[in-house]
Amino acid sequence: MALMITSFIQRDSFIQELNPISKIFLILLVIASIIILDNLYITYFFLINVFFLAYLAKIEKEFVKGITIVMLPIAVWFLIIHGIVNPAGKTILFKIWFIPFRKEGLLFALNFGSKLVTIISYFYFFIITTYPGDIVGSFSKIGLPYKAGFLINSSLQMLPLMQRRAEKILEAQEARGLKVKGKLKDRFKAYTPLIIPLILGALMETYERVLAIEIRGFSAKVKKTHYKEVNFEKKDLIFCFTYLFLTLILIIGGGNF
Amino acid sequence: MNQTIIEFNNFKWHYSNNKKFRLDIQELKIRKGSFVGIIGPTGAGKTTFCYSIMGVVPHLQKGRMEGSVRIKEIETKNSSLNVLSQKVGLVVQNPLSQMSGAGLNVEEEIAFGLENHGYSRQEMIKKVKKIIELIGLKEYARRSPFELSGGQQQKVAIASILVLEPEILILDEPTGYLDPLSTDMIFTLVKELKKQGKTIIFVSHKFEYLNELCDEIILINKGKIIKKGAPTEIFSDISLLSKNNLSAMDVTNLFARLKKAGKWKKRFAVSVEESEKELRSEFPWMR
Repeated sequence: MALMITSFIQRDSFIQELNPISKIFLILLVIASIIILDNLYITYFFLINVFFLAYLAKIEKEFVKGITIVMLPIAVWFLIIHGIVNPAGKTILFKIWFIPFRKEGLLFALNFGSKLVTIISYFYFFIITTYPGDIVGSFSKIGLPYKAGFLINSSLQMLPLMQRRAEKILEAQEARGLKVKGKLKDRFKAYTPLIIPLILGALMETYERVLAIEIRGFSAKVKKTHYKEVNFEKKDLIFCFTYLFLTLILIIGGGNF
Repeated sequence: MNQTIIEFNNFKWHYSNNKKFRLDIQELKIRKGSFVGIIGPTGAGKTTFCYSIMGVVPHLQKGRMEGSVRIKEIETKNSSLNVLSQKVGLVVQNPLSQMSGAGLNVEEEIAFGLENHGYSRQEMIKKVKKIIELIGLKEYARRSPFELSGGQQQKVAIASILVLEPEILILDEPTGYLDPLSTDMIFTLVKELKKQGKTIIFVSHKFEYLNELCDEIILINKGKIIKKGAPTEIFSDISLLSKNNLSAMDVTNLFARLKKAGKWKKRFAVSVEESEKELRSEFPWMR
């Protein structure tokens, strides 16, 4: 699976074999509980839970790495901005140079940032543990539109494809003498000539892909069938009920933590 | 075998974003089971010609159409791409852009068209298995199409079209992105398909292969059919080819040089085998 054009990581675990709908069910439960209950402990429970699930899926290293790369800069930025300029901030907690960081702002950043990190972590978990080919099939099975499943499936493949294309363009520019390494300024300069070929190339390929799917009957007005069977199995039921049960306990006891 | 399968009548197509170009085909009939080679310089209208048969023109392109293109009893203008996709299959130059992305391995990619047409799972499994064996993709069936070589990817593209069992197969420069080995692989495959009696329209600049495979060659330039004829007739006419910005094969050019030197008066040969025969008969010392 070396050159697979998705973020999906193939491992031998029951998490990868779960129906995508079960994972979407979990994501919806997490979002609902975090938003409705507005409780930091519950948010942290779910945050720890997603790392536990990543461990069960045998992808903990890749998961931690991916989350750190994406979320760490956002989290730091959140703390800095809210710590300094949040209008709710009153109590000065500490100063860096002459800039004061206020308690209320930092707490807000911690609260809001944790929720954001948790929800995004679940989406990332879904992307790297779900075989995109299963999404279309599972969507159709519960009566969701075929095109919605296809759209999610294609979008999941878009980023790795764009990344590959960017790497190729960068190699080509480098071969023509462009400096792509060195100081931040040089790197920034190197990435500018990458944008136009990247976007134009992606647009052209989109047209070609439209042609490719249409000449294979994509818009045919018949009930679509699926080559790969995706069933909602016993393990999916256990998974969904376990998390539903846990969430209910959290909701019932929610305010008391 | 004399039944007409494709018929153009007073056909004209103008792209709305390219006023200069117009495809204009007054009359053309292609017989069922024939293998037709399409040649012409870049921008001649070869791809538009293919799109007109497939129904991409007028259904996916913006422009104005006059006249008609018929695939058997179906008039493309009044039909839809979905219906036409079961009669006509189109393979284009770039194998990567033909991957739907819906399937993550070769099997699933091939099954995409069948899923769209609502075939049952059992039927799909049977058809996919059959086509994988026919095209010679058995050892790659479970691999991602994106990790295959260009030649193998093009084979996957052909398989995913053939699985719908179209009567007409159009290949628009399918070897344009491929190395010589992969090119040979595709032509060998097409040779097999020809034996099975499919109607094949093949656009290519590889004259050696076309000469070997085609029943008929159509030379297109500036949106019009310049000449239609047997491969030997078209490929030996160096002045016709050069007037239309095409280069004759090296072996044919050799005879043109011999003629210029006053040593050849007969028709120019278009293949190595033919030239060997001709030269040996003309120059006894070569025997």
